[in-house]
Amino acid sequence: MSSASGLAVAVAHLELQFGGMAVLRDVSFAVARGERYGIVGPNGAGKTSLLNCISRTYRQTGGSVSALGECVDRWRPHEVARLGVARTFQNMAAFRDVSVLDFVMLGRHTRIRSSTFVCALGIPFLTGDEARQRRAAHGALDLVGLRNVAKTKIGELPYGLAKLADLARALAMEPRLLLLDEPAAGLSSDERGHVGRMLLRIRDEYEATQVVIEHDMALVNLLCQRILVLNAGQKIAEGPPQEVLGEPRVVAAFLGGRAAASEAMPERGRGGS
Amino acid sequence: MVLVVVALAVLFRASSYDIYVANLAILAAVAALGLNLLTGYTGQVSVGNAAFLAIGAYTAVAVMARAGFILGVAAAALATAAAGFVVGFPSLRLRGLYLVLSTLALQFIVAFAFEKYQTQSGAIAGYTLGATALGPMHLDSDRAWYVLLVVVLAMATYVAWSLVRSKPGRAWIAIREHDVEAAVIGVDVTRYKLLAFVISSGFVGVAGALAAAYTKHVSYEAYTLDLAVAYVAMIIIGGLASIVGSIIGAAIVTVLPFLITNAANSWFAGAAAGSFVQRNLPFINASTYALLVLVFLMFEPRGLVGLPARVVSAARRARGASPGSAAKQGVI
Repeated sequence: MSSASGLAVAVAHLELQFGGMAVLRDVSFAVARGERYGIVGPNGAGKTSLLNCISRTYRQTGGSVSALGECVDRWRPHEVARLGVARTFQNMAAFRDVSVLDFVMLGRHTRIRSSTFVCALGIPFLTGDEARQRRAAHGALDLVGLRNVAKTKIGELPYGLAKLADLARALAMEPRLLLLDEPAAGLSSDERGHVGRMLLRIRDEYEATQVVIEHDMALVNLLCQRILVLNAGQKIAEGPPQEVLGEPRVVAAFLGGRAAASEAMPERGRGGS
Repeated sequence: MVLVVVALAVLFRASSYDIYVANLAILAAVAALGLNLLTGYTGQVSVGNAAFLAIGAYTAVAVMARAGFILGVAAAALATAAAGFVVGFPSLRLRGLYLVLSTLALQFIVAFAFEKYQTQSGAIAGYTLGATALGPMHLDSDRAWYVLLVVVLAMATYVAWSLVRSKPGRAWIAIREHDVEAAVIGVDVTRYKLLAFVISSGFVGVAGALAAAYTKHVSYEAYTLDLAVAYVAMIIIGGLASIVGSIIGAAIVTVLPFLITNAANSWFAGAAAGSFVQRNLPFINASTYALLVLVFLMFEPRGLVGLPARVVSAARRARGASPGSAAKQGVI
């Protein structure tokens, strides 16, 4: 895979099946290092499943996935994270009892080198290593504007702020590849504006490659240089957002409806939902 | 600091019997700390604690007579940690009730093995340990043991406290909260789950070895399922995922039967109900802490250490400010 080494993500002929149901069918795309790449499509198109194949919580039934120049087909999720791939979660259902700061400190997990033995003796607290990690976590919290809720439990935050905390946790990993799963979904318009500004700032200030799943097309237009359109598990278009979003089959896929979906994919009439 | 003062006060003021009870509470606290690392922090429910205590005690019996006290405790820690490593493997596949059943299997296997071992080796009444010497010091009184056990508890507390506040503790909490997301965040779930089992059972094994040396007697029938459940009760009553809660819970569950016994003896002395109460003391003891567990599970899942927080948040509610709305105003 020498050709993939310059790529942040290389997905080749990806197939994913659950039982007899095909979730992803022959999906191929590549994301260059430093690129900001969007994945769009109707609900149920397989967008999150695609990210899950990159972060290895799903194991594909065919094809191959490379991240940051490494073929990760046989890797486990934490190994991908250690490589420098961070991922935000679509809905922040877990970690409700954890404080925002502790949650963001979890993002430092792959960066902390202290062994368990050293930790058991409390040495990181004496050498200042723990304090250093804490400062890094506070830095990530500053970036998303959550410093003053560092001690609040995730479950006590409004939904939008919990998603920002998740973003801070991902940024605290200092990732080389950032996978964002619907960062603005389910937010109020106020929060959406805040998250949008946040993402633009990350776009400008971070070198990290970004792969974003998002339904807000205005945001996609602002954030992404290229997008991939998925419908019913298949790639139906790829290119700059302004061009791609105007294509008739993309429009048809988004308008949904059985007729439009089957027109876009005559071989199998599964609408995306 | 408060603990040091309390510990010294007990040392100088209390009767020998009180110190004996305190020693039992401290031994329970060391094991409860270990169990809380596994159950409270990592979210892996285990009823294998009596078995781990037994493994620690039997290892102490085997090693202490030949190699001395310190090596006996160290060997017990290692042997129990190794057992914890093995018992941890089912947790990689099983969750919740299924995991409880797999640790329950350990209880029966260990009870069976030690019963057979004991009867085959001709020690039907159990094993008796000699007096413990720690270097030049002879631990020949409850007070001397008390000093040693307070030091051990302080060390165990420091280690547990250090662990849960640094990388391993955060990894354990992440596994408890959501193991798949923990893995995506970068936590090696296999490694940290097994680590929780190893360290947790190591604590329990040390407690088992020290208890054996302190009571000078080890026999399989002491390590019952009731005992295993009592440890789960300690951390639920004291507070899951709480260092202080482990100690408080261990103290309550250990001391309560003695208090009830005393109360029964003094209140019902000579009364008609007295003989009934005294005949049924074990049941009364067991149902008292069972009731406590139920009350805490239903009304305060955070245990006793959750009560102050509850009072604070009630006070805050009374002033009409929820933390969520405050947070929102502060940011956007």
